[in-house]
Amino acid sequence: MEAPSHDQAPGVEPPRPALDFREVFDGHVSYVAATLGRLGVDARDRDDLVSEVFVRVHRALASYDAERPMKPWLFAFAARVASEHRRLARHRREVFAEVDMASSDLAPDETIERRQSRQLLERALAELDEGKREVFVLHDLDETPVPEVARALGIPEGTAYTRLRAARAELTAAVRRLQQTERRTA
Amino acid sequence: MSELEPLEDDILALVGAAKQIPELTGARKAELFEATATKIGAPTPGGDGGGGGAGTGAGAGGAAQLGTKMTLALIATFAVGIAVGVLADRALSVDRSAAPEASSIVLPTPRVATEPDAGAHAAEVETVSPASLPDAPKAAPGASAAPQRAAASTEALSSRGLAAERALLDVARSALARGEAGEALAATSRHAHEYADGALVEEREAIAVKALVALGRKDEARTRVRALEQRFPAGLSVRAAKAAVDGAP
Repeated sequence: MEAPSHDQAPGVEPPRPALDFREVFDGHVSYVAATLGRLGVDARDRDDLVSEVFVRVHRALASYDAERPMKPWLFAFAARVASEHRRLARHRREVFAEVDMASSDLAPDETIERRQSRQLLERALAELDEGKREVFVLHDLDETPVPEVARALGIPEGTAYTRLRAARAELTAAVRRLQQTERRTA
Repeated sequence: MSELEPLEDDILALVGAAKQIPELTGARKAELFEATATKIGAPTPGGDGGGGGAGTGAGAGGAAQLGTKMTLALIATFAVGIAVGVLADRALSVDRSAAPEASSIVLPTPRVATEPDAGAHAAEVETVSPASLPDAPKAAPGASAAPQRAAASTEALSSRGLAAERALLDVARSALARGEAGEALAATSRHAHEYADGALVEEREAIAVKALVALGRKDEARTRVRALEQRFPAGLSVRAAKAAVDGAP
């Protein structure tokens, strides 16, 4: 899959050829779509960005190291695409914190309660800055161990810990604030 | 300090509820794949890295064959590389193929291997994608020079290692508290994988035993308690684990 090993005879098909793109796509498209949502991409842009992520994944597939878990690897692409999109979108509109209800189309079998929890969390996540949000999502939602988080995002482990700690504190504060607002409007 | 404060219970519950990844329907996947295949087939402004030219078929048939085509294209590229005798150069270009927009893509290639067995194994959570690829559990062998590594002293590293271990067990423990024993067990397996001889083995095994009991897998739980007793005859967690098995119906 990545650099061919030297013991392969030239012209002979390797026993386990390159990763099948379709397989990667089918196995992980749900993850990528959900990750984009968690990173603040709203539903109407999500399909486009899912494609964009996989175009890049397709291009980079040969460099994927099969010894490494795939999700953090994909996450890095999604985070980059979401970040670029956010920068562009800021020029167009300033409504990133808005998590629209259409995101529910991603989860037809979700209970209302679960959906509300998810949406509350997504709104709170939207208040974090990019770096903290990425670490939080990759570690606390995806359960990726911090060393792997650091590797996937290309940051030192200490930085990952610092961001995670700050993210947890800020997220908690944001949830409390949102809950209060909800209570007041209810 | 690299100790992480655990999240408060209600926040943890929110996080727990948001963990599950809703699986898209087959039709949605097909639709998205089609759109992606079309983009791949079209010439991209940013230049085309490895195998981008393979996806010439943009329609449904083309989409279905994309994977195969790409494989063939890669093999062909490989063969050409050999013929020209530039294998080393090719290895480089494979790396570069991922970075036509080097400044814009974070390349998730192994850069820092902070711990001897910093498990390359982590996020393939069972609940998500049954089709997930084999995530080989071996540590990245001889990960290349790691400039960032120099920054941290051995002591700091080991305390971070401990924090990471603890964080993983926190995941297991809170899953167990939520009644999600399967998830708890999965987290303990990840811990076992990454920290086979970690500092928190006893704690991990105790959680695993409780999770197994909760899942009704009492025989396995009992076997593990016995192993745990042998390894940590005076362990505090051992007693708790034993009680969990003995107390189970």
